[in-house]
Amino acid sequence: MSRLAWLVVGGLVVIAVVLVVLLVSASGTPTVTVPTVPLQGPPVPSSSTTPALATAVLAMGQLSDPANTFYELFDRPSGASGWTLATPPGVADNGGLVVGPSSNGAVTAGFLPAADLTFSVLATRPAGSTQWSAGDAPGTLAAEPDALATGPSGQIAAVQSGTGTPVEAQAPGATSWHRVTTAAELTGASGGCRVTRISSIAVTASGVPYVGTRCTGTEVGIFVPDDPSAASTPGLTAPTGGWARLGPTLGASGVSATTVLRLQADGGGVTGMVEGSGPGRSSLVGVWSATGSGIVASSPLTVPSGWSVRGTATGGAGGTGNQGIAVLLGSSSSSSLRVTGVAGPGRPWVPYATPPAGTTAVALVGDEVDAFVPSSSTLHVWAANGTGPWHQVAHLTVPIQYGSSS
Amino acid sequence: MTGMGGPSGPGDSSIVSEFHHALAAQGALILVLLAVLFIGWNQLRSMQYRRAAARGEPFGQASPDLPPEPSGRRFLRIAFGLLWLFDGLLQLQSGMPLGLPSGVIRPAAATSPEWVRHLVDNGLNLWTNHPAAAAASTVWIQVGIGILLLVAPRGPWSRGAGVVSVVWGLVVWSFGNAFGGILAPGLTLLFGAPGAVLFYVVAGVLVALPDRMWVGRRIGRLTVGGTGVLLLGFGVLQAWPGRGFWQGSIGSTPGTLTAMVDQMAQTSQPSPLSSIVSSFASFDRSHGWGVNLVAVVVMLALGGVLLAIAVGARGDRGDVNGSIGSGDGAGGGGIGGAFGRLLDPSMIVLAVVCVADWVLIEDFGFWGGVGTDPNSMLPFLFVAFGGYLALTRPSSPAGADAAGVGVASTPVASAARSAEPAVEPEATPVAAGSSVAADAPAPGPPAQRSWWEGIDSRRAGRIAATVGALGILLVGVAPMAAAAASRSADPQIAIAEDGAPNVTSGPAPAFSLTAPDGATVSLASLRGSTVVLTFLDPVCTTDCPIIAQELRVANTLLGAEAAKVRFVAIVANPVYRSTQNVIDFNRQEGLDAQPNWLFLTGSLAQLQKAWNDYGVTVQAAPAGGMVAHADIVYVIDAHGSVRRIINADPGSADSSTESSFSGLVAAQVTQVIHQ
Repeated sequence: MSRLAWLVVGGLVVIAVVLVVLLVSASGTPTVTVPTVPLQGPPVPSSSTTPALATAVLAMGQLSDPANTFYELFDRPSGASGWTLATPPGVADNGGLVVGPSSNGAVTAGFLPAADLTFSVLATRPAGSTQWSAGDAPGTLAAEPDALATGPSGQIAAVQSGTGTPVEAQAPGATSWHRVTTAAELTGASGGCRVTRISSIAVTASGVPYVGTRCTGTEVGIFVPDDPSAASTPGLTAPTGGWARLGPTLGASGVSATTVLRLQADGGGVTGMVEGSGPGRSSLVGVWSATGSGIVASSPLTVPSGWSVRGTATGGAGGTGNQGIAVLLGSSSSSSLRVTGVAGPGRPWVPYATPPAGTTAVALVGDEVDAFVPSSSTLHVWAANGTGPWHQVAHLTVPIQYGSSS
Repeated sequence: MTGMGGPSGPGDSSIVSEFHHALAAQGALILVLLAVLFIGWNQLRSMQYRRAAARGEPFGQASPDLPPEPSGRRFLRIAFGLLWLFDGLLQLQSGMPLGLPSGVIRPAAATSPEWVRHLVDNGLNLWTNHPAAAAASTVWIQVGIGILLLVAPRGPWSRGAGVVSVVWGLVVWSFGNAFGGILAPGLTLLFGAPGAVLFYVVAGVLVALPDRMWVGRRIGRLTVGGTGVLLLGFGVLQAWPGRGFWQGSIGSTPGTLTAMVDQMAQTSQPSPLSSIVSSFASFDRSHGWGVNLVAVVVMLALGGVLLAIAVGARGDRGDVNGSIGSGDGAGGGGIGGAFGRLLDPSMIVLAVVCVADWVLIEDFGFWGGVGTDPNSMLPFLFVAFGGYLALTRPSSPAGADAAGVGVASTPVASAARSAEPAVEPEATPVAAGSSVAADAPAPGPPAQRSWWEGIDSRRAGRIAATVGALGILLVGVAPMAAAAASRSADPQIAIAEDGAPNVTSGPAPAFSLTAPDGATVSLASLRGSTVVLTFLDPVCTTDCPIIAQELRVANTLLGAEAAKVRFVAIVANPVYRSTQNVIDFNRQEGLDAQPNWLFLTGSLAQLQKAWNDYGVTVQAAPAGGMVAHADIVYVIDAHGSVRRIINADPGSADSSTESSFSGLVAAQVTQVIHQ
């Protein structure tokens, strides 16, 4: 080939190579990259009943489409005949809602991250009101049913996600947050359990914080300030005397980790639910603590193989003393559901009648257990007294705006 | 407002219109180029005529004929030239700019390994960011390659056409065909593996080979043997159990081949063709085992025979007088040993099978609005036939030498060189004296001749055609290279999504709000800077973070001009509007470090006034819904006048539309700055 021909052919080859390189690298091109965080997944549907108010959070809408799955908050003031929609406005809640009711009826709700929103914000509502106020969260809330707690004076405690899962608190009326504790600090006070994360927070009617954790081993991580009386300040400051673990220890064989799934203030202290898990097995234990005293635990409820916790509830018993707990279990291989509850310390686990098909959450209200059956924008509420049969008591239409988050 | 825009589809008119405009502009450029070449050629002929007339010499004598091009090479060059040309014309389809990535390329890569999909996605960035430019460029590149192959029969330009064909073929095969699906499950020769363009590449390689390589039957043997190996390999793969080819259907699920044919039958095409393909799908559904048996037997038998013929011809060194299929393998150059006589029947069977597969299974390959080529069976057959010709009609060493290999002093070689398009003057003028008519004046002292006087009409035409083909090729390559170097996607994508910016002029409504640091910021305080104003919800989960990032990138694209610009967002949430919300948003989006970014908030009354003044409706949705508000960007000039109103709905919010929107904003801001 002539020199010129070589040059031309070579030039074409160079152009093609440059084209390929540009195709592959597109180097130097500024790209639009929206920051995201790995979504934690919403907490299991849960409900809480305090002396003044019952609340329940569950998913509704088109559950197969995350952008059209909305988490709705329903409440039922003490003495009311039914549930009403109470979801706070202003933020898309497709990532999940966390609710921390106070024993006096005040509520704090937290929005979990969703899509391109990577931080949480709060909504607060004083006792007896239906109006929400916007609030700021200290960061990103942990996706746990009891990651928020509201104290009797309006103080707020929040468990954050991420390293150390710290608990931050905000004094009544304040806008700033301060650190209460971290998983690492609690590990130092654990006396037997290695805290891997903080999973729940509760503030009793007397203002004492209880912190629940996930621990490796058989020890249960429920912590209180070493001197509870000194710690019950409205600001929920970090206890100067450190933290003490209340226990208990799960005796069931095969347990390699414990997680405090629920921790809610009741009339005199806290009511909680602990899961003990090991390879291929899981059991649940109800726990109660009166302020200033230790932990009382129920007998374990073995979760059958192939079943899992679909929903939890605390409440019942009139709200004056210890409360009950209930758990909705679901089979992974079928649509079978079960509801089992324990009414208080020293009481046995009692199975309720088989809940209606499609039940996604349960609530304990007085002597009644309610089952929530959502279907797109409609919520059917069923109720059973004790272990009696279920009967439908209400259906609510929720004005979900499909497509509003996409 | 969320959901205001819709994703662009293959029929999006503004992108298609841009594609057509690009084609028209490039076509006009090419016409000018061709006209100049024609005028140049005509001028040359006129000058030659005048010079010859002045000398009293006859005009219009052609150079001696070129030695014949090897039959196989000639066939491959013309066949693949026509294929490239046809593929280029297919790229003219209106669905190409937007439909090719989603309708052809991504589906082709869908079942390939992750790294292949990643590679294809990276390669697709150029196309999806510049759909009109890329589609138009592809038309001209492929038309250019086709014409180059057709008009350059011999010499370096012709071999260069082969090289270009190889390079572009590899680009298409890797990025456009996901390596022909050879790394995906369900691989079968019947449906297009190892990729039609790979055969274009093979043909390009053969065309690019030096002429001496075509001497004898070596190329033919390799090509026919390669065809045999390919058939054997794919025959074994076709017979492999568990791949779903032996079943026409499994319950109600169609077998692998049935599903493929069903899919092709659903392509938009003339109903008789669809009916034929559907009928074959039904037949395969009922007789899947039999169909696959026939396919396997034919592939293995043909592959075995062709391989045996190639091996049997190994001792042959290229006697041009050799007979084919004599079977004796002795004397006369008979090839293929005992199988030689099966060559012709094998090629006939191969042709029948390829055409049947092309019609019944591949469904011609180019229907549906985004078909890019006639699929693999025709190019496969063409390569095989090229090999057949190279085997049965080998080139002679003299011909190769004459084409410029090794010998430089013979008249034939000189004539051959003169026939090759070459731009530089030749050291030795054409040996015209050897062809001067007998009654020409007696030769005197050699006359001084210019170099261009020796270029005969045919050669000049070839030069013009070759330069024209190269011009067409470069008309395609240049804008694609420019698109690849561009820092943002084609703004037309954003316009297709949200409409063109509204060019306006009028005073921007005043506002006075609070910055995250507590400072009061008014529009008047920003006088002197071009202001890019938008409304964002600081706790929005979808559109607002995207718009914020698009504006961040627009700021980067502005380069030094960014110093003259302030990007201002006003809170568009009646509930979550605290300074902390704004600070959290800025931190989340990395905008807290951008010095010309301001996210302003205020009392509800202040915000509502700003929303009303700028026509932004803000509404909190019930039941966990996001706050709805208009996604809009105002560009306000340094004197406080609104100059552009841009719909900022991210719509489909893919990387191309986002990059395009950034580019659009940057371009509009630049225009406003320089108004």
